[in-house]
Amino acid sequence: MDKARILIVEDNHDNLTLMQDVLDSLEYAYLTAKDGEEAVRSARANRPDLILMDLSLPRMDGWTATKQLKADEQLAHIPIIALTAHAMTGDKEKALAAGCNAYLTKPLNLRELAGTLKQYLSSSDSAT
Amino acid sequence: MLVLVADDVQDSRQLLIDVISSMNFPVAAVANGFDVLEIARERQPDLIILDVNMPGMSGFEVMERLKEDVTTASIPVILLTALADIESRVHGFSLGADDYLTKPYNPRELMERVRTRLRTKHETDELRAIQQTIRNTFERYVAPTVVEQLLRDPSQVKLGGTLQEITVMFIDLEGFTSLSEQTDPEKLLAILNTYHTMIVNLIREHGGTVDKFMGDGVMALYNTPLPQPDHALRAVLTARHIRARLTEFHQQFEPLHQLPLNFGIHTGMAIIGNVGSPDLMNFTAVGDTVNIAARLQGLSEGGRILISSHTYQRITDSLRVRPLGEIQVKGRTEKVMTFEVL
Repeated sequence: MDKARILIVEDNHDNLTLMQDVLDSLEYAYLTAKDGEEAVRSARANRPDLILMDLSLPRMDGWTATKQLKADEQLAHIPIIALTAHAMTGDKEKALAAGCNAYLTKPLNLRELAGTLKQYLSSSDSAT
Repeated sequence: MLVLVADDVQDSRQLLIDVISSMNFPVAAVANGFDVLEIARERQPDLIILDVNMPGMSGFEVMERLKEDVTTASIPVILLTALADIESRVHGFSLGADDYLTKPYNPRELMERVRTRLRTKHETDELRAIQQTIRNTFERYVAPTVVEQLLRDPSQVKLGGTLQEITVMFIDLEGFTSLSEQTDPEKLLAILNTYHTMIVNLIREHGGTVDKFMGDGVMALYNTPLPQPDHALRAVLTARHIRARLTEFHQQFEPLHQLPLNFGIHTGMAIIGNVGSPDLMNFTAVGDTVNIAARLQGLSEGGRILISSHTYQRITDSLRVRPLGEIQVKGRTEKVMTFEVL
């Protein structure tokens, strides 16, 4: 079975490092993007199995990128997990309204991240 | 504690002295702006009550000069004047005055305002002292973002000592001690510092606290000073990250200096706080938990990451491990189940 491939969209170096470490430990493969435009381009080209989407990004924010991805019928099925700043109330609601399937709050709880990934990736495995 | 009052009119000055003295605060009184500046610098009063209308140097000019000098800039000032117009009041505040009273004033109102200013000053001073302590204690050990979080909410820091769950990680350079016999000391230290810089940066990136260096060894703590619900996983991911980085990192050294790093990680209760004598203190952890982590690291060889079952229980499902069996730790009756992180 091929490794699941995840697209990480994150412009903060430390957060990116932590997420890469979690994905490495779970033996998932990953791609990265630093802004919303790059995320949409990469998702179209690479068709990842799941997207981890930071919401506050340069150039195009995560909400806009999510809306574009969910509006594309080729990509709409890809689960998108939003990463929201803990202090920003309203971010979660906006993320779900934009079409994100779930959200994680920062600072990231890495165990929660691992659990959420397993949950979404095993359900997509069993569907195929 | 000292309140400095400044008014060029003898009767007005005496009234200020009487009001402040009735509150049982020490008071110093001067009649012109130059004396205000001099006494403010020399005696660092907690509050200055300043008449605006003085010959020679006006209260506004005194304000400006007080704010220009770092040693006097943070002393609160209440301006007093006969000028009731809104313009001069706005001007006073724009220069940095903290409060304003128009003559003739009610002595009881002045007393209340003095009390408020002194209380605010006291609170500000206390907060500054706490922030300074936090900076001194943590700046060298944790990431700048952690220091910022601590400064925003100092109540999270308990320097006095607290019993809590933490994850402790020991890292050590295998074979470093024997190198010291074959390598020039200056070169050896430079090599050691290169290893430590890489290790420290990665510990901080993963939210850990670098507790101390012990020769070639490093001790790191997780879940302190800020709580981390995923502390065990963060520690193990730090170790895996360092291990994955090592081959590339080693390229800068000749083969003799390409040393494996051994890791020991344990999670358990420990006493956290400032340990030492009053003038020489260190934020650290003490207890059996620390000893077990050190012991695991001592058992590790060839670049392995050894973790206890206590740590493993908190990272289950997150990564692959191989059980190694139980080990006996000195001074403990029960054995510790050990795993190697793959």
